[in-house]
Amino acid sequence: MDFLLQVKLWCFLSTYVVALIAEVAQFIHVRTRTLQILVFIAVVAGLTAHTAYLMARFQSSGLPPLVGSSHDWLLVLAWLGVVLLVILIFRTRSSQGIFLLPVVVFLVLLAVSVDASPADVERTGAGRWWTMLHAASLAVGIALVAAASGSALMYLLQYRKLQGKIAWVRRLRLPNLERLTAVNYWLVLSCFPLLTIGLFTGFVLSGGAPGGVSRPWQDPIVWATITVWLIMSVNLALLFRRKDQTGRMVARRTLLAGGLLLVTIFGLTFVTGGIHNDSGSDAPDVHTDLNHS
Amino acid sequence: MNVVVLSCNHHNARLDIREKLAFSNEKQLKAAYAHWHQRHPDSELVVLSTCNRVEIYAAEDNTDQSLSLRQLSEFVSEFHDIPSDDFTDSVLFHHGRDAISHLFEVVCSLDSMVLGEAQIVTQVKEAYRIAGEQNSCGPLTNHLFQYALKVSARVRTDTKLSEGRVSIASVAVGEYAREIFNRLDNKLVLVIGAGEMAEETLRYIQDAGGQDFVIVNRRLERADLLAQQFSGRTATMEHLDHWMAQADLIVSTTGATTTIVDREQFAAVRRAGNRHPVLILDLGVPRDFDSQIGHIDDNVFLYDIDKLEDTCEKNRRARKREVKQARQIIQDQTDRFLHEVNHRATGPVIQRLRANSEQISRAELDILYRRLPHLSDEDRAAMDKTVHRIVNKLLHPPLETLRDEARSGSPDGLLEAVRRLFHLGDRKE
Repeated sequence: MDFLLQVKLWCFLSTYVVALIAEVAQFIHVRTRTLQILVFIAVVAGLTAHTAYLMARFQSSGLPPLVGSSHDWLLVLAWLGVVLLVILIFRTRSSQGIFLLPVVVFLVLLAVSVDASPADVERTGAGRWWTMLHAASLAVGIALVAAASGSALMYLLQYRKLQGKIAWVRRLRLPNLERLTAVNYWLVLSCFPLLTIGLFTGFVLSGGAPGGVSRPWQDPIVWATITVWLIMSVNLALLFRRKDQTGRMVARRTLLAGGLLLVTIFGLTFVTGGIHNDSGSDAPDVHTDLNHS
Repeated sequence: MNVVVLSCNHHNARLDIREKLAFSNEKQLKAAYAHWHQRHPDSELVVLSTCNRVEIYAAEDNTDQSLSLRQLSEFVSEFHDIPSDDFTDSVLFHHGRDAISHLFEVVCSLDSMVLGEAQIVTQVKEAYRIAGEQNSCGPLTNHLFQYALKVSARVRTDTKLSEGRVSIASVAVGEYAREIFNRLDNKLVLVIGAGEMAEETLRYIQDAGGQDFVIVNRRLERADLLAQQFSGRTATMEHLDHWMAQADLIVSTTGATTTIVDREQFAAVRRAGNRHPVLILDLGVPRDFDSQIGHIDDNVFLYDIDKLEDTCEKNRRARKREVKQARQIIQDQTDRFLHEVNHRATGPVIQRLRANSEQISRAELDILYRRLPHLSDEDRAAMDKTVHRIVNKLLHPPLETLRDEARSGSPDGLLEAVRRLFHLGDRKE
């Protein structure tokens, strides 16, 4: 398994950038089979290297990537995005790459700039499982919120496309409104319980378990997650209770929640150097670089 | 090679002329093939007859007697029993390379009324099939039509000539209904009006998966006919609001002189329903739905005929932009086709010339060996080699010239000269 250690972060970052450039080229110029194949090869190659990198991190730290460090947590989030992209490439012919790849590249770049040192969590026992549950539910929940935001953005663009008011939107290949509404509905529905579990386990951990936050009410990330959770609750309640809710209304609220989550969590992650890190003197000294393995 | 075409199409002939020259069914076509082969038993013939064109392709391997427009005109005139003067000014005649290039343009739909339409490919295949069944195709037409179908596939793959829909009904269903709905088999389609446009649109919706149709019309007899055709239901205008509240897709094609649904009426329909997404395709002129209806709520998508025509026009313009590239492919493929045909024509002559030379040199060497029996096997082998080299060197300039001629155009004249110069006999041998 030594070969895993040879995989560097820049390997998959560069393939994702290549795929993104090919997607943009297709959008600006014309969709060609060669560019589509290039996107597919770049994404699959990147995903393979990405997976190998995460496995190497797991081997070296002895901690699952989700709880290993903020660096690993962000890379798992990006990895989930790429897996989703590969599935979508197989299932649809839409321009999903142009929406997902910028987020993936952004997450990988963000991972470069945050704390890569192993987190101080219990390596065995109940505390570790609470931490795992907390990190996993939040990671998947946030990934689903991000995916819901992506589908909501696609819905709004498809809506504009149908109105024919913006010329450039016509060039995008987007799924139809019915499909986007259904996807958005299921993403909102599934992210809600995961965010709830993530918040609940966070509060349990703040009670003293290692890996928890000592002062949760002072942590802006906790507040951002609560706000997003509240918006999603309202979204869900309106979806179930009000018959006049159009797909466009739901898409707007989802985009608001997703935007808030992404800006707050990732903005603060960048400023403080990691998830649940205090800013200022507590900021981590250890930053990873592109050759980190 | 001798290929000619007589073409009477929508560009140069009025509908009444095209109707007179048309071969309207397979029976008439079979009679036409029989009639042609009585007069020209050695030639090949393929007749393409559609609503927009009548094209008669004739080919003959014999270059001595070239098929002419007069022969094709006489054939049409005799078969349809109309004086050739009635249509001579309305037909085009292409010969050789132009005829081949014309067929490629036709099958690639560059010559069609609707640029890039796919139906012509099926029509050409059908014409070729019938000609084949009547034993009217030969090596030239077989190769030509098979090649033409390949060129058509290449043009459609390498250009966007057939992309985007260009008729109102197909744009309405293919570019709008599909952008809103994932599937149509679980959607209720309400059609207001029962005219030709309603029928055409219903056909596209059915092809796209639509199954549940309700047809509302002032005259129920016409609605019943359409409903029978598409296994749908009918309703009277009094129940219009009820069905509008339930419908997912509304197609309106009435000939009413004023709007039949105003904003207030439709707003009430929406309030009564569950505000699910509804696509309204208003194909009536003047419009059947008040244009403000599209602003009632986010889930109402209203498109009138102007909007749909705009999309058709954009798609037409996009197709026109591909014409230049398509023509370039056709020119290249015409060159390649001619090269292949000419190469095939020179092959037998070259073979015969080589065989003749080989036969003569072998006979002369045998005579020599009989006179000089003391020659060893090594001496004989050396002499064989020398004679073979001499023959090859002598044949090289004429054969190379023949190949060059085949590459640059028709080598018929030169082939004939080689046959006569080297006494190669008749080609049919």
